[in-house]
Amino acid sequence: MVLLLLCFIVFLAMGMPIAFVIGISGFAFFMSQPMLPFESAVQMVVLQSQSFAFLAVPFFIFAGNLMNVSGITDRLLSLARLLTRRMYGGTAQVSVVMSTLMGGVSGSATADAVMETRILGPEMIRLGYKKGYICAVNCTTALITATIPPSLGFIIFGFVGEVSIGRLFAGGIIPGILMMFFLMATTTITSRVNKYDPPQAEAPKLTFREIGEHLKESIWALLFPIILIVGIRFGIFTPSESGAFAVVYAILIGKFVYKELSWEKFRAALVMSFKDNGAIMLIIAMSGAFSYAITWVRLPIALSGFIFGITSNPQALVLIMLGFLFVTGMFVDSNVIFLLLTPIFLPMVKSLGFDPVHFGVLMATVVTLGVMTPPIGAAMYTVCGIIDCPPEEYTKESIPFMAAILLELAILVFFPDVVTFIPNLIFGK
Amino acid sequence: MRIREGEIVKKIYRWFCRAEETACGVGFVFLIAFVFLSAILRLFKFSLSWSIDMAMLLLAWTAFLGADVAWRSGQIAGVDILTRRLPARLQRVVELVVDVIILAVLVIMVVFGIRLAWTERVATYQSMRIPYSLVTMSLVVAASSMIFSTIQKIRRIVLVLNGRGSAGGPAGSSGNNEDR
Repeated sequence: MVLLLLCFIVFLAMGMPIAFVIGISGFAFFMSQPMLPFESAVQMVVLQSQSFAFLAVPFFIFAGNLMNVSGITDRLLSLARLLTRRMYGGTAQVSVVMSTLMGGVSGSATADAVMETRILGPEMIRLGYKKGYICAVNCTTALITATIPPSLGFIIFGFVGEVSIGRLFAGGIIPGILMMFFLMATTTITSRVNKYDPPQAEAPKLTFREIGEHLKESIWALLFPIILIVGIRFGIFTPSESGAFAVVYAILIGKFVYKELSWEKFRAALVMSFKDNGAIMLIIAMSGAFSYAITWVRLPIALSGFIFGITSNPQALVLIMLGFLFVTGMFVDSNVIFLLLTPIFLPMVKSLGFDPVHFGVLMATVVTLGVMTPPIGAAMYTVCGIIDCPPEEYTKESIPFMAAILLELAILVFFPDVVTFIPNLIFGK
Repeated sequence: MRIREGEIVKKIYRWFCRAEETACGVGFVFLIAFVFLSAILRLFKFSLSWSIDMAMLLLAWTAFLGADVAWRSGQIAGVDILTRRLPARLQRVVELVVDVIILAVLVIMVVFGIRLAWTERVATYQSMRIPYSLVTMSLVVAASSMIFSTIQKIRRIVLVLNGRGSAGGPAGSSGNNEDR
């Protein structure tokens, strides 16, 4: 076990890609245990990829990439602009609303953060926003995308913890919309303090006709999450198959409704998708031996004994777990956290009488937040790289947004019905 | 003569990379088509017993080959938060050590993967008359291909350490290299 942890920390510090870090640490453990045949370590890597639930991962990655090149993004953007036209910090607000609208077609927070920074970043620089603030807004609000279904975090959590993915999808709706309001309030306050982008007095008032016209254009994207959940509810497709439907849907809309999807765009999205999928699946596959190792040494039991020893109040315990996940997420890849910590935390939470869907939505959100936090956050580095912003500036400006998100999640711990209301309504108790 | 030989090797390697990407893309499209069609057929009470096994087989191949393409194009990177504070030359040395360890592990994976596929060779899928070791072979093939990609990486670092060649820049011809 010492060898496993040592390998993990040393290789991670040396800058080895996380998939190999976790794979090699797991292999090292197998080599040090004469009772465990090494063939089975390699077998675990293969077996880990043989899960029907994981099919949803490549499908939703591809669907998201396709929607981005098929013209759906532009239509949602113009709707977001319309809705936030008369607000303080208008362009920053566009980013918040856009993340919410995108939530229904994309499952990846990083992809959304990158896309929005590319589109809105240059415009915001021209309007006088500070670079750190631009990155903070575009990056942190992308968490809404990861909370509104479909969501890659929910799929992986649902698979590892054997929780209904359909219910998790439905459970993300209210927390996602709530997060939009929390972050819009934060944007209003911070941009008033910084005097960014005051509302234009001459901007015409929103009319229902205008909204109606924009809705007609973007309805196909907004309908998508509803079709998804209804389809899963009535057993038309399983959550894994729903991803394949999402891909076909994106192709049909892009080709026949918006008429913007060309063969070149399709190919580019395809290459990008199998690379993204390969990178994620490699981590998932390589974690096989590692997961086995930590169960073998009974680490979950030791850890849960330790956590139960702190307090017996269920809400306090969940808050401690979420805090722990937040801190771990600052340093460790989010997929790795799902794979390793879900089997430890979920049984504990269940034994406390917590609803697994309630916990899953909170856990998936706080773990995904890890890609946006320093010192190690994939989304943070990519977004800062796009407009050449020092990560320190990003960190400073993102504090109010992080605080708003954490506050929302902490409140949700005490109100399970806010999360479970829609899943129970759709799927029954 | 040596230069010409080098050119030919490069050409073969480039052809090989393209073939891998094409196989991966085609597999990906087939994977989606399979799952979509079997869901549609099920709606009409018609079930394809082998479709799930087929999908899982394709998933393994596209995932591992896709991982190799991503690895070659530099998309699978580590965290350099500590190492980037080191002097440039030492950074390259650390990279070299990391890549050599990865290379060794890939070789071990290929060897044990082949042994595993050999022991499994008689087992076939329940629904299809295809040996189950085809799944294991996806890891073996992808890991072998990763060995080539890793040797390329190592070669580039050694060139930089010797004061030749430039740092960075992905090898191979892997199309667009968006960092996401």
